[in-house]
Amino acid sequence: MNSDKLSGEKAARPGLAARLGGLLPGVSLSILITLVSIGIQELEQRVFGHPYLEALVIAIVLGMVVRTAWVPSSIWRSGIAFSAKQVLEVAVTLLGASISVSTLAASGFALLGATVATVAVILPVSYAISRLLGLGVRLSILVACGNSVCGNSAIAAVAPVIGADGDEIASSISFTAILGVLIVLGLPLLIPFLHLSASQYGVLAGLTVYAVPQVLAATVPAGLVSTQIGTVVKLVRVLTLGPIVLGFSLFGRNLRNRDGKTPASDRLNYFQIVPWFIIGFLLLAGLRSFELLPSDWATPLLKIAGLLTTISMAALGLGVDVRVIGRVGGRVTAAVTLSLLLLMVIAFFVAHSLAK
Amino acid sequence: MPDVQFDSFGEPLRDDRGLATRPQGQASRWMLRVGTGLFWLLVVGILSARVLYFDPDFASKFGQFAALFRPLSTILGG
Repeated sequence: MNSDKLSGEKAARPGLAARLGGLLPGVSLSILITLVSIGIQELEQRVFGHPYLEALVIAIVLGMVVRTAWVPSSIWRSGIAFSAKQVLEVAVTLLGASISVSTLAASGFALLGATVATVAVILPVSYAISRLLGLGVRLSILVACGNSVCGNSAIAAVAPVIGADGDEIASSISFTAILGVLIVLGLPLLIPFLHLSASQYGVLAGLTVYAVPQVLAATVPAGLVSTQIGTVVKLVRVLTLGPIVLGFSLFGRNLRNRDGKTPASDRLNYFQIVPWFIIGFLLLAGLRSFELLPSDWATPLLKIAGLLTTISMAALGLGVDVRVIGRVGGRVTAAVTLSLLLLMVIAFFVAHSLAK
Repeated sequence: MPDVQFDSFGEPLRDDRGLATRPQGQASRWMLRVGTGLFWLLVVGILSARVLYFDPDFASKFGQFAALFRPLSTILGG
């Protein structure tokens, strides 16, 4: 009887080809939105010289626009869910190729210490501000990580570790992106206003601007010195993502368990403590740090990671209910604005003490 | 029975309790007002400053933008 049941289950379970076929429509739609987003980013690059809004942000917004106009039927859903979860996990693994201990060592102790200290201070403060404003735990973590580390990339990397859903990711990314563009536009205005030198402005931009291309957009008008210092500070800030992601994977196990159920088995499951993609992330970071991964591989791996992240953001956008985001928009905007202004005050003092 | 809310089209609204709760207390409401106020102040301030310190070269970038569509209009026109 058992064997009958087993063979029945086996027959009911679709084969690999059928499962892949089931994923195809949703994955194709996510890729299509990604290609349009990359096209818009390229257009920005050609028109303004820098992409003010990255393809990643455009993809999530386009996904939300499509989802608002048309609710995908069941044919599309498995592929969309696959693109939003599994593809994002692979992207996080590949992000490990960006972590190199030698970059940390080359940046100098003072800069490294100041950057890490700034992130260490602003992360819990930003979380506390978000919680005080009534935002949920996961959304507050995403806002705090996005604000203190590197905006959208940090949100995308931390989201699967804490089990954040599409609405939480879209809320944090959308409003962080708006503030990100505002900083890029507003930061150069502070140079004459605060009498900043090129190096001081570089440190300030590296500590406050969210994405690396946005650092370039904010510092290029101020000259080469600002651009170089800003990029180094920004890269050091990005490197703090490694320990943050590892910390949440070790201590945020309960956050991933959304339904509150305890695992069926009492046995210690290492993949529940540290998800597979974090093990992959750390493995790649280790290989890169000990120069076991050829440096030529890092750039293409990061490009693939960026592409996969954009595909997953398009898929996340397709699952977002805009009405839910609208209801928390004011509070996320307030949380990001207050956290960002506090970060700018700290960054200003760091810039004055580190650079002349 | 769970309290289900509906929008103006009669569709059930998703539960957003995981995303946020209503701000509790005076401090929370004060922070919300200050945060959103500062956000709009930044938007108005930064955009006004960018207009005041307008880069004349910026106009040529719109020319570049328009140039991107010229081949398209030629194809469509032809």
